[in-house]
This record gives sequence, C-alpha cells and structure tokens, in this order.
Amino acid sequence: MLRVCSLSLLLLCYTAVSAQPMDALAWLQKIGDAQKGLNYHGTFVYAHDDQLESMMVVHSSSAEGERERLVHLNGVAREIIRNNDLVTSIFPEEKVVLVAHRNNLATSPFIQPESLKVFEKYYSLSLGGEERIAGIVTQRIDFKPKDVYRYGYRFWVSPEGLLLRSDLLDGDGKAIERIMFTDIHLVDQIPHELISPNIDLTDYKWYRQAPPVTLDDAGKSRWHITALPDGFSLKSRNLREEGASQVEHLLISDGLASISIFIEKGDSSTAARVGEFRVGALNGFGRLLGDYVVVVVGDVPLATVTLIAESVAEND
Amino acid sequence: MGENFTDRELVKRVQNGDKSAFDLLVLKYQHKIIKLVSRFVREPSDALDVTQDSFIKAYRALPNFRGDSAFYTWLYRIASNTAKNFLVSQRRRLGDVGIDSEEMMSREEEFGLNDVATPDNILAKDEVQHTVFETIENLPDDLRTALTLREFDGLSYEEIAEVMECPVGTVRSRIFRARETVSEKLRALSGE
Amino acid sequence: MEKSDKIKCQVSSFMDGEITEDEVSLLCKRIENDQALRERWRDYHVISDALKQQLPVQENIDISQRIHDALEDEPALSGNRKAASNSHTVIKRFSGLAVAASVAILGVVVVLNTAVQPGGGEPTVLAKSTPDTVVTQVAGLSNNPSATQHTIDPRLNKYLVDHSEYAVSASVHGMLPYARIVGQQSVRE
Repeated sequence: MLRVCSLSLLLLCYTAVSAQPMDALAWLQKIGDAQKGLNYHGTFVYAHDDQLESMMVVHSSSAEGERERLVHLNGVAREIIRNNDLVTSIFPEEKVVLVAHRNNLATSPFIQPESLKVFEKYYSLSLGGEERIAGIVTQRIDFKPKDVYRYGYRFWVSPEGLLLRSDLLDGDGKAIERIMFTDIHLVDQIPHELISPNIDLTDYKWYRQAPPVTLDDAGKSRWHITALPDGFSLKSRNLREEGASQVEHLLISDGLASISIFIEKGDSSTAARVGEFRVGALNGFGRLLGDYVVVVVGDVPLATVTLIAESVAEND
Repeated sequence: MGENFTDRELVKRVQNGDKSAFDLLVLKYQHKIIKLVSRFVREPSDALDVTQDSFIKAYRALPNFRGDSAFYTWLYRIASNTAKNFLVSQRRRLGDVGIDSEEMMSREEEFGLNDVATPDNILAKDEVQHTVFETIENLPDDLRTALTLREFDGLSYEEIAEVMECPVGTVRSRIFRARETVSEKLRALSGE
Repeated sequence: MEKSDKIKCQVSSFMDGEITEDEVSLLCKRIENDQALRERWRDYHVISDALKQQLPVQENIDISQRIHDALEDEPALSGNRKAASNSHTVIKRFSGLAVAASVAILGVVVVLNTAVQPGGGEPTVLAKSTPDTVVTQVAGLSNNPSATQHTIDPRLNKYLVDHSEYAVSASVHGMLPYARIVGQQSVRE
C-alpha cells in the first residue's frame, strides 16, 4: 500500500513540476545517457575517510554493447571488467578470477525521465557555478536532501554529460566520499588493449558464480518491507544460492542512493553480521528475524538502513 | 493472485493430466531458459537442445513438484543443472577429464560474448527489442502507464486502478490494448 | 469489444494472474484449440521479456513445437502425485560460491559500533535520530578508540560485492559502486 501511495505521488509530480529546476534535471538526464553511450578513458581519484585511491577507468560503447574496465593504480593492481552483464574481477594477490552475471535490471526507459522529477520531492536541486575539473569546464549541480533518510550530492558535469567529480555529503554538507577525474579523454574508439586485462591469467583459478534467479513477482517472496522511506522503491529482487543456503537480495533506490537488503537463514556465523557497520561511505545494519538474518547496506545514513532492516517482515 | 497464480494453475493442470497446459509454460518460459542456457553453452544448436532437455526433465519431474518454491525458480535450477551436466559430458568426450567443473571455463569464453551471438541474431534481437520499446513509447499515455506499472512495478490491476483512478476493468483493457498494439507490430515484423 | 478481443483480453489478464480459477479451465481449452490465442500468449510474454531485457540473443526462436513433439510419447501425468522425497536429486546446487565469496574482497575493515545490542528485534533509538547526529556518530567512529575494528565477515564481503554490482545499474554514478570495492582493498595492506 505504501508503494502505491508513493507511486501516486510520483504521478502527481509529473504535472506539478515547475519549469525552473528542469535545468538541473536535464543535466541529470544527460549524465545517464552519457554514462552509457560515450567512449572514454581516464584516471580518477577516489577519496573516503583518510584514504585516497587512484584508479583508471575505460568505457566503450559499441554495437556489441557496453564494456568497462576499472583498474586500481595503487598497491595491487586489482581490476574489474564489465562486459554488458558479465562482471569479471581479477585478484592478483590470490591469483583468482571471479566471474559473475549481473541480471539486467528492469529499469523502465519510459518512467525514468519522469522519475528524475521525483528527485525534486526529496532533494532540493540547484545549479552551481561553472568550475574546471581535469581541464574541462563543468557545471556544478547540488542535491540537498529534504529529509533525514538520504545524503546530499554535488556533481560536476562536463558539457557531454560526463560526471567528472561527485561528492557525497553528510548532514553538515561535509564530503564523506569523493570521486574526481584528474584526466579524461573522449575518443571515437577504444583500442582493444586498453579494455583488456594486461595480467597473464594462465595460472589463475577461475570461479564462476551461478546467475541469480530474478523474482519478478512480489508474490514469490516470503518477505515484505513495512516502512520504506518515501521516494525509495524496489528495483530488483533476486535469489542466489550461496553454498548450501539461499540468499534473497532486494535492491532499493531513489535514483541516487542504492540500498541492498540481504535475507538468509542464520547459521553459526550469524552473530558476525548483526549490528551496525560501516565500509567507506556505505552504512550497514544487521538483525535477526526469526531463524533468518537481515542485513541492509547502502550509501545512506545509518538511520535509513536501520529503519529498513527493522521494517522487514515475513509474509503471512 | 499475480503471476504465481498463473503458474500454479498451469502446473496443477499438467499434474492432473492436461499436457497442453505444459505447452503454455514452455511458451511462457522458453526465452528466459534459452538465455540462461546460452550463458553456459556456446553453440546455438546445443543451447536449444539443452533447453529442450530441460523442459522434458521438468515435465517428468513435475509430479514431484510440490509448489513450495516458485515454478520458475524450480525450472531455472533444472535448466542450469542440465546445462552444467552438458558441459561436463562434453569435456569428458573431449578427453579433458581432470577439470573440476566448478572451476570453470576457458579464458576466451569468459571474455567473449556471453550470449550465443551471430551478427544476424544480434540484429534480430535488436529489432524486436527496438520495436517493443518504440511502440510502447508511442502508445497513448493511459495505455503506456498501465502497461509499465504492470511490467516494471509489478502492481496488481487493483493497485494500478488506484494509482490511475479508474475502474479495474479499464486497467484490464488498457493493458490488453497496449500488448495487442505491440504484438501487431511484432507480427508485421516477422511477416506473419 | 469484439468477442474475439474479449478472449484475447482474457489471455492478457491470465498472464497477470488476474482471472478467477473458474475462468482458467475454459480459457486453457480455448488456447489449446486456437492458434491465434497461442500466438498472443507467446507474444505477450515476448513483450514482457523484451521490456525486462530478458530475451536471448536468438530471440525469434520458438521451440515450443519441438518440445511438444518430443513429449508426444510421454504419458499424461496422473492426478496422484508421488511424495516429493527424491526431488533433491534434481536440485543439485552450484557450490564453489563459498570459495568465491571468501576471495571476493578480502579484509575490508569495518567499524562496528559495539554499543548496539546484537539480535535486538525492537526498533532501536537510532532509527529515529536525525541525520546530523547519525552522521556525526558515523564520522566520529573511525577515530573513536572504543569502537572496534574487525576484519569483515566473508559473507558480508559477498554482500558488498553483490550490492555494488546491482548498485552500478541503479545509479547515475557509473562505476562508482565498483570503485568502492576496488578502493577498499588497500585498507588491509
């Protein structure tokens, strides 16, 4: 019922939007398109807490789809290669390659532009000034959350729609996490060697993860969420087998922040997953629910993951 | 209610001797299963054989299906096991015994295309996908909204009626008209 | 609505589980005997699969007739079902995942707030706190001597990887969620 309410709000928003903040929204739409359609490579820094990591990213888009490569430039050169929905992670210390399928999410291209407008209800959008990032003049966009359930964002966007800098902000407007490009090259075509791993993988062990089962019907789940903060909605529901047990994974998003809920039967290791935790900008909270453990994690304040974890209930 | 209801009803009918209800389950799930199997089995004709095997196994095992998991989850497991066994037997045939099937796959396979892809296939898929999306984009607002609320948000007819502030019967016919419009376009595409 | 449209509309409703049990039987009989209705049933599902990006590459293949023929000699199932005791043999599990999980992102450091009672079913006060207090708390944690640092539980590792994989497609951030995972590595080093 709660979902229905938030949906009708969404539909109301379609008509209630004023013209003024459309500029920021138009930018946001542009980011989404650019993220998929452009060929580029560059280096960015990723900062959180006292850590500063440098990474290289390559993105190519062609008739065969999207291909993306992320390489850690400090310390051990771990990398992740995404080939459409196939994600390959390479761990040189362990000499291990992990291959996993990510189901394409059923994101609607028809609702998406409108759902961008939903942001207005939960974030104050404003356009900042022009600033130079990695030698390119960018437009700054600010998202200030209107409630206690989400963080703020500040984006710096290139004229093509590339997100060249992105800050995640706490309630005081202080950056918790930052991604910033130090150089970026837009190209017509990505050379093959740039998007393939340059590690010799011959003596690596390969592991392949079985693809998850998409539960596209809410009725198939034995769980429901009683109190989802407004603006967040269920994006996907998957079932994965982990050794001898099954894990249900629900993904929730308001378009900017993503929250995962994992539910599985408890075992001897359960205690380690109960309570609060934090990894970089991700907050998490685990609790017991009957014989099951519910773990909620996302780039949102602790209050949000706690609330959601507390509100998972078993269907009758 | 919901999609579970449909599968439960069809399964019940098959279990009670109505073989043609199984055809409906095949028509419903064949593409999802082909997609799943193609992730394991590269050769297109093998993938179709394995898909066929999976459905036949499912039919034979159906008396044992109790319905405590969803039918699709159950079918999915059968198909992924059938695909896995196919790979193991193929390796054995090639004399490549020492490989642990859990430690999978050659490098080329992992970095190659994961679906069984030929230029023609890609074109065909793109065409259908494109036609579906384009047609829906051009539907009148009320039809498009009803269908997307159903397909993407998984809302029941009653919930959609509440959101769109119209009777359930109107939702029913809007979703049908949306689907019918798209399927006409698809038939034009395949020349049927 | 014409009569034939009315039945096609029922096909569409049946697909969504929105008809009554009484209607199912008659509708199934009709679909069995009417090629046009079968095509609708198939195409409506193709549309649904296409929308959810679940079509295989060779999507225009319909192998239902093949399967129907292959089952020609199979007996129809009888009403009395066997006990389901041996169904486990069909459901063999993919293992190897436990191993995969343990190598996924080894040793991410987590700050646990030890003040929280594990296993509490009651809503905690935190759920009602304002973001400012929560954020201050969180930001303070890494320097808080009473907070303990743990090597992350392997299952949590796995959750974080799964979360990131899905978050990538849900956010406008592109690779950011992956950067979080890759970027965490050196914490251990």
